[in-house]
Amino acid sequence: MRESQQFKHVLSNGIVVLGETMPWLRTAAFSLQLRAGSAYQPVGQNGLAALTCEMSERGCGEYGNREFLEATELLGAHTSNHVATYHIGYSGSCLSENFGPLLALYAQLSRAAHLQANELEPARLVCQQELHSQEDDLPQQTLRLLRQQYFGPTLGQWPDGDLAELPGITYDAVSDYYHRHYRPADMILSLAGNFDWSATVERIEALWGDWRGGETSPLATPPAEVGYQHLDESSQQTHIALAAPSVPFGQDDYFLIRCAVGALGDGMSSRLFQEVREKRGLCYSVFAGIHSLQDSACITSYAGTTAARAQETLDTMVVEFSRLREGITEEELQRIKTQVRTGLMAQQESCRSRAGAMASDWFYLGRVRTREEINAELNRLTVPRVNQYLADHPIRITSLVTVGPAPLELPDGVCQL
Amino acid sequence: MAFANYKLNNGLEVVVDDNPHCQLTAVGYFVRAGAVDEPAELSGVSHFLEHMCFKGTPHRTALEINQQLDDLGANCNARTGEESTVYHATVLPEFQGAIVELLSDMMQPTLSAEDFVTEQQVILEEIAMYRDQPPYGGHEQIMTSYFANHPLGQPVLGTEQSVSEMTPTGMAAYHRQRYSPSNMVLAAAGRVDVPQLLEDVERLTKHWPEATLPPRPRTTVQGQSGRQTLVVPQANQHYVLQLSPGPSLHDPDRYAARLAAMIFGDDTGSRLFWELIDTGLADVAAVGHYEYESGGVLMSMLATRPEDAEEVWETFERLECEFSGNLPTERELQLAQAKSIAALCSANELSENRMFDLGSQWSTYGEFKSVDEVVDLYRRVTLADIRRVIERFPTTHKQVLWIGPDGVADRPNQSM
Repeated sequence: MRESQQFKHVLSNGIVVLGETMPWLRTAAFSLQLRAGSAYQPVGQNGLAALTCEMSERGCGEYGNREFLEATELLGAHTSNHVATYHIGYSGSCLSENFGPLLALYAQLSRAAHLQANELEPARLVCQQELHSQEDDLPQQTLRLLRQQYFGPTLGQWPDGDLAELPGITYDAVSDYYHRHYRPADMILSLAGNFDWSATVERIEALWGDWRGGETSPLATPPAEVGYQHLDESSQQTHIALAAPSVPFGQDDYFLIRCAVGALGDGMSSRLFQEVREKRGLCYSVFAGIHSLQDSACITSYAGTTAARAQETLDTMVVEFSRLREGITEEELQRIKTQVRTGLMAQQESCRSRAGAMASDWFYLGRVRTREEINAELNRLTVPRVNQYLADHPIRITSLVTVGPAPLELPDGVCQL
Repeated sequence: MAFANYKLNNGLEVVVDDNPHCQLTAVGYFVRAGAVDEPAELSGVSHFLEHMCFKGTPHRTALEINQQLDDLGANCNARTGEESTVYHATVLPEFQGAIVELLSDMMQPTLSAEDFVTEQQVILEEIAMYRDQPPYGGHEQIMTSYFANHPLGQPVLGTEQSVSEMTPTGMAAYHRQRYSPSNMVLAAAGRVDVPQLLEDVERLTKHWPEATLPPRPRTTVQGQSGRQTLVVPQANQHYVLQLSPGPSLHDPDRYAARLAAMIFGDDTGSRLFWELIDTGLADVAAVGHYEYESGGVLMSMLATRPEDAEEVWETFERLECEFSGNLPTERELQLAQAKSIAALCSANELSENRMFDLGSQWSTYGEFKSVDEVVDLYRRVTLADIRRVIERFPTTHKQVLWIGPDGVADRPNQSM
């Protein structure tokens, strides 16, 4: 079998191009990240990033709004965009023979969006529609409130925007945001799949090489609040989301806590799933994971249950969080290792997810981890190391959000500093 | 790449699409058991039974099943639909034997009374959860109204009443009949050790009781037209669901019909997209196709703010009327073909998708078309085919459901 190869190339303007060739595939994918995420929005303008992203797709270079979309569709490209905390990202995949032309389209989008004034109102409506639709998704709304509360006013902004702030965003603000944040100095372009590396780099040099622009200034991050917040809704279910401080991805102890959270709430044999759903039948959905930003992170956990059983659900979740202090078992650790290894192999089947993972590694770690490196990291993880860490760093739930017909009682130790 | 099919002595069919370039092994049991097979008093039993297969077998407790699935790093799940129940898992190739053993064991669940009662609660929670998330609550209502007395109108989850009243005995009888090996297909794709697979499956399933099963009646669907409303007090958006006739799984026109639906209502680049989504009028405006053995439907869905609902609906109806007069162009067809073909090729790179494709094709048709053959079928669709399917499946005969907060009930009378 032909092996994959990894590459890196940095353009003189700072654009980092990462590549991994996967010659057994028929397709290739890219992920393009611009430092324009929601955390960079000025105060009171949450929605600027989402609106800028929407406007960027409405015509660029030689293409009008409709022509741009049709050009991508004629290439059979599967494309998407995404506003996140730090980045606005665009990704796309297509059959290998169309990969070069697809990159050329996105070069125009990143450098030469038309930002036509008459597109602003339709674009704003699209962003508003997205937010309106989320109002009916109570689990997501609950997690949004938790995120805002835990990460504070800059980092915790909901990347899709805020219905109260969107209407006040002006055309000039969008144009300014695009030109200030769509810049080469901190752009990441990762490529994965079946493509020719040197020919593609040559093309990328031709498309982006003469683009100039400096780095984005660092973020100021005001502190977050902690505590309990309840939102009244006349829903059938009560939605519960809670957060506890964690170590962010990229720091030494991250994998230790990742293992603990895996045992707690990742998968059907996890403690939360077993205790809350399997033994007590309290809910359909319950899980825990780590939400990591660059310098801060939290363990988040969610459950949705009929209102009458919500208190018991919360109490059970809290017991499982505290019980982690006693450590995890060898079986739990092995299970998490296998999950990570399976995930790594799954990336080898999907160039889209591989391109995304490479861009993320580069942003958070400044390098792309190889499979060997991750396997070595997994081998270093042992039960005594994880348990020592858990004993030394007890997990404290500092934020709780509930959405439903009535607030819940705080169990002991929750949201207390 | 190698496709092969086998039939074991007990009637179980095994189909394999082995590709050494894949990194993972995906396997799945496809059971011909779904909502259409349920007597009214057992409405929801296929789905409930799917849950029970995770709750314990003569060899394992529920906890042991879940633990082993997680130990194998198995990306494992199950889904129940109108006509089938599928249990599937994707693992590292080294775990092929273990996952086949586990899934096979799960196909013969204990159905203990104690687990039955706990799981009943989980399913009632699931029904409540969907009711909190419009428009999901509307999906079953409109299916029931459109298909009327046809089995396709039975709700997959069942109702609160049917689930509450179900007994382990009734479920066991249903299981004995539908989970007979001759009513099941095992599909494996990705990197597969075929000789080992056959040896394992033969050994693991030879004791499975066989049952004779009457063939599933193929009754023709007579879709019912009508207009209804569903009030969801806490909803913020208005939603419209619409069902109209579409091709069945056996209809040779289904490729053309899928392309026509894409031209009209794909979520990007379609006629609906340019008028309703690009303009910001609607949050969702899309047409999907659901194909079953005895019939098919096109399901259109619109979602928007209450103040725009009227305009969105009128635009939708106008575009729908225009579609049969202002027929698709060569360019529109070309775009739809490019999108469909690329999506197929891309999806086919994942072992899991290959397994799904293989298992569903085999349990429906008893044959397998490779991705290249299917690509070719899409390529060969002409504008004349598109015109024909637009005529064959008129949207004039339709069931419409408006879903929204208080006040939504007044709407259909104003505009329809």
